[in-house]
Amino acid sequence: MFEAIASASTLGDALDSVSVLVDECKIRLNEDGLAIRAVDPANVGMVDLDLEAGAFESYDADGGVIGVNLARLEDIASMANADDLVHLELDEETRKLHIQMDGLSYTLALIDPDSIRQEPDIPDLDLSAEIVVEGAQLSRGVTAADMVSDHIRLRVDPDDEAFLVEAQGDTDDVDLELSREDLIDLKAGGADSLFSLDYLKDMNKAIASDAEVTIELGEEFPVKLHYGFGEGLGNVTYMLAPRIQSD
Amino acid sequence: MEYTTLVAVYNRLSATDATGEKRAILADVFADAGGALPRLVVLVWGRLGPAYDRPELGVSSSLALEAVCRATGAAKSAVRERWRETGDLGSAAAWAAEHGGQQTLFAESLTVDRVHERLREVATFAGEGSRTRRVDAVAGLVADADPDEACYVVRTVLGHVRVGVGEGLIRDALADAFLDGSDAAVAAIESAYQVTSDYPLVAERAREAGLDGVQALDISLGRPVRAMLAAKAASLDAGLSSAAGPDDRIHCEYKYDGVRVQLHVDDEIRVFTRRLADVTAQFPDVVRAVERGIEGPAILDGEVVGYDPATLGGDAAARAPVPFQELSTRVKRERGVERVAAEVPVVFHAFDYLYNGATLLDRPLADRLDRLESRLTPISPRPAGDPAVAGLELATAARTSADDPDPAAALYRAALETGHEGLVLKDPTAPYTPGRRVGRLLKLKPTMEPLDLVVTRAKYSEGRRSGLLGRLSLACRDEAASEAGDPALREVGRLSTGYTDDELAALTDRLEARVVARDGRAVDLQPGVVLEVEYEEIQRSDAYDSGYALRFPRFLGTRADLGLADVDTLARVEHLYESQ
Repeated sequence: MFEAIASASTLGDALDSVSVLVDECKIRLNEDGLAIRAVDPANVGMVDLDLEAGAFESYDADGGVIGVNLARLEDIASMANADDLVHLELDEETRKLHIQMDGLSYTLALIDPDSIRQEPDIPDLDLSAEIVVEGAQLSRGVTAADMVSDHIRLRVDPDDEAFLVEAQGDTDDVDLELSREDLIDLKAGGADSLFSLDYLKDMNKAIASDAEVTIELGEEFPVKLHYGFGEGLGNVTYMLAPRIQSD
Repeated sequence: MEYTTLVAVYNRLSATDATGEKRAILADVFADAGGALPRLVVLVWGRLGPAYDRPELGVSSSLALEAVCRATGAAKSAVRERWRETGDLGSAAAWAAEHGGQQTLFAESLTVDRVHERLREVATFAGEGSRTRRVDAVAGLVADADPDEACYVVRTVLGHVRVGVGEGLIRDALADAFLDGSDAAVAAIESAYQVTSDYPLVAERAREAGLDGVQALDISLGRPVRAMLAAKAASLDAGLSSAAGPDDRIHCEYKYDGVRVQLHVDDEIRVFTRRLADVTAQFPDVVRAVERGIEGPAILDGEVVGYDPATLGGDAAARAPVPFQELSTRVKRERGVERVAAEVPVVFHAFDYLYNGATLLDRPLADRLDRLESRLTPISPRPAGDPAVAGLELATAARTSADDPDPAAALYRAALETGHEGLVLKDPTAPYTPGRRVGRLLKLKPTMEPLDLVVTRAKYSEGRRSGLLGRLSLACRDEAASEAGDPALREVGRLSTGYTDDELAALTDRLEARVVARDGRAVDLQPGVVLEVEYEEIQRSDAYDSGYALRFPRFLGTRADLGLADVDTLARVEHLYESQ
C-alpha cells in the first residue's frame, strides 16, 4: 500500500539526485518515508537518499518496494509547476503507479524490482577532513575545472586551513582556493584525492546552489558529499570513488 | 565457475598454435566442466549460445570502447590508440583496465555465469534508452574485471575471442573428453552437430549417454540443420559424370543468387539463414506464403531470391532477379520490414525437404523431392498485396542422364539468361548430408567474381623486387561497423602475385605517397588505393579480422576510378563465401 502527496519541486529534487547516476532504481516505500540507494553500473558513484514522511503533504506506506524507470518518472513530474502537488498511488493489483497533478493523470508501468541491480552496502570509510561549503562554491570549482580537464583534484591543506579545488589540463591549469572564511565549516585533516569530472559534474547538477554541502574527504579515498533538500526533510549522500593520481 | 578460470583457459589456448595441444586443453576443460559444460562449450569459441542461437548484442566496437572508457576511466584517445596499434579492442581494454586509473567503491567477482547471462540479457534490450543500457551493462562487467578478464569480456562482446578455437576443435575435444577420441567418435560428434547445430546439447548428450546417445540425436523443429553444400564442378560434362547416381540419373536445378534459408514449419514458422541466423522477423512475406502453401510439421531447404517487383506479375521466365546486395538489405533490417518486403519482393524456391514429422535426411533425393512436390502448394508472389506475400514454388529443375547432357545444357543456358547464377547438379539417390560439401552435389557457374579491395598495409618484396611494395594487405569495408565518413576496414588477405614489374612499380609509387608509418620493411597506409583482385575461393580464417581469407588472390588491375566508398563490403565477401 502506498499513497502520498508531495510538492512537485521536492519530488523533482529527489528524482534528479538519483537519475544522474542510474536509469532505473528501487524505491523503498517505508512507513517513515521513501528511501533510494543505487550505484552506477561501473561501481564508481553511489547515491543514498531518504525523504521523510514529513516532507510530504500526506504520506501512507507500509514498507513495499517498487522499481521505476527514472527518466519516465522525471518526465511526468516535469509536467507539474513547482508548487503543484503531485498525487502518487500504487495499484497493488496491476503493479502500476497512478500519478495525478492538476487535472492530469498518468499511469506508470513499474519495473520488477528484482530485475534491478541489488542495492549496495555503504562502504565504511574513515575520512579525515570535512568541509562544509555552499553548493554555489562547489559548482564554481567544478565548472572551472571542467574547462581544462577531465579530472578534478580536491584537497585540504591542513596548515593553511584551506580547501583546494584544482585541475590540470594538457596546457591550462585551474585552482580555486577556499579559505576557512569562505567555507561554512572546515575540519582540517590531510586529504587529497583525484576524481572523474564526468561523475562529479553530474552530481553537482543535482545540488542546489544554496544547499549546504558537507564534503568528507580522505587521502586517495572515496569522497562523500552530503546535502539536504525539501526543507531539511530530504537527505542525499553521494559517494564517489577516486582515480589513482598518476604523478 | 569464476570467470578468471575461463580466462586462464583462454590464455593457455592462445599460448599455443599446436592444434593437438589446444585439443588436449579443451578436452580437459570439458571433462572437468561439471554444470558449466553447456556454457563453456560455446564460450571457448566466443559464442553465447548454440550455433543457431546467436544473440545480436547491438554493441558495436565504438559502444564497447565507450563502455571500456566509462568503466576504467581511461581517456578515449589513449584506448583508441592502443586499439589501433594492436588491432584488438580486447587488448586495448586490458590496457585500460590496468592504466585507466578509476577506482571503484566495491568490486563484485566475475563469474562465468554472470558474464554469460549479462551479455545474453544485453541482446534483449530494445527501444528507448537501450543504447545506454547496453553500454552500462558492458561497463559493469569491465568495471569488475582485471586486465585479462577485461580483454576477454570485450572480445566476447565483439564475437571473436581470438584463441584459435573453431567448431572442429570443439568437436575433437568433445570426442576425447566423453567418447574414446577415435575417428569414429569424432565423426559421430560431427554428424550430431551437423543435424542439431547445438554443441551444448551434443556435449551433454555425449557426457550422459555416450556414443549411442550422440548417434541418436536427430533433426528437430526449431533447431536448424547445417545446409548440405555443393562442391564446384569444373565443367558441365565433368559435373554431370560425377553427380550421376548409380542409376546414371542426374537432377539438375537452377542455382539462385539469393539467401539460402531453411524453413521450419509448425504452429510457428521460423526462417533460418545458412549461417543459422533466425530471420523470421525479416521475412514476414515468406511466413505468409508458407502459411498458405505448406502444412506443418515440415522443414524445407531452399533459396529466397529478390525480384524486381515490376517483373513479378506474369511469366516466371520474365522475372528479373535483383542483385544480392539489394536483397541483403532485408536480412538485417529491423525497421520498415513490411515496406521493403513490398520494395524487394521475394520468391522462396524450395529444393529440399528434410523433415515431415519424421526425419527424411536418409531418404534418396528423388523421394524427398516427390514428397515435397505433393506437400507444397505453389503460391504466386503478391508484392502489392496488403500485406505483401512472397512467392513459394519448387526450384526450376530437369532430370537427365550423364550420356545426355543436352537438357542440362539447355537448363544452364536458361538459368543464365533469366539472370540466375548457374546450375546445381545432384545425385537423385543421395541422402541429405548436413554441413558437408559433397561430390554428389555440384554447382556450376561462371568463375568467381573479382572483388574491389583497398590496400591497408604493405611490405617490400624480397629479392629481385625488393625495392617494390609487392606484398599488400587487402581489406573490404564493414558497413555495419562504419560510421559516416569513417569506413571500418576488415582485412581479407595478402596479395603478392599477378602484377608485371611495370604494374608493380606504378603501384608502388601510388602506395608510397600514402605511407603513414614505417616499421622496418612494413608500411601502414592511408587507405585509398583500390585494386581489382581475383581469387580461387574464399575461406573462413582467423588470420584476418574479417574472418575470411581469399585463397590465391591475384592482381587484375588498379581501380583509379574507385574510392573507399566503392570498396566491396564484408557482407558481399560473406555472401560470395556462402555461395561458392
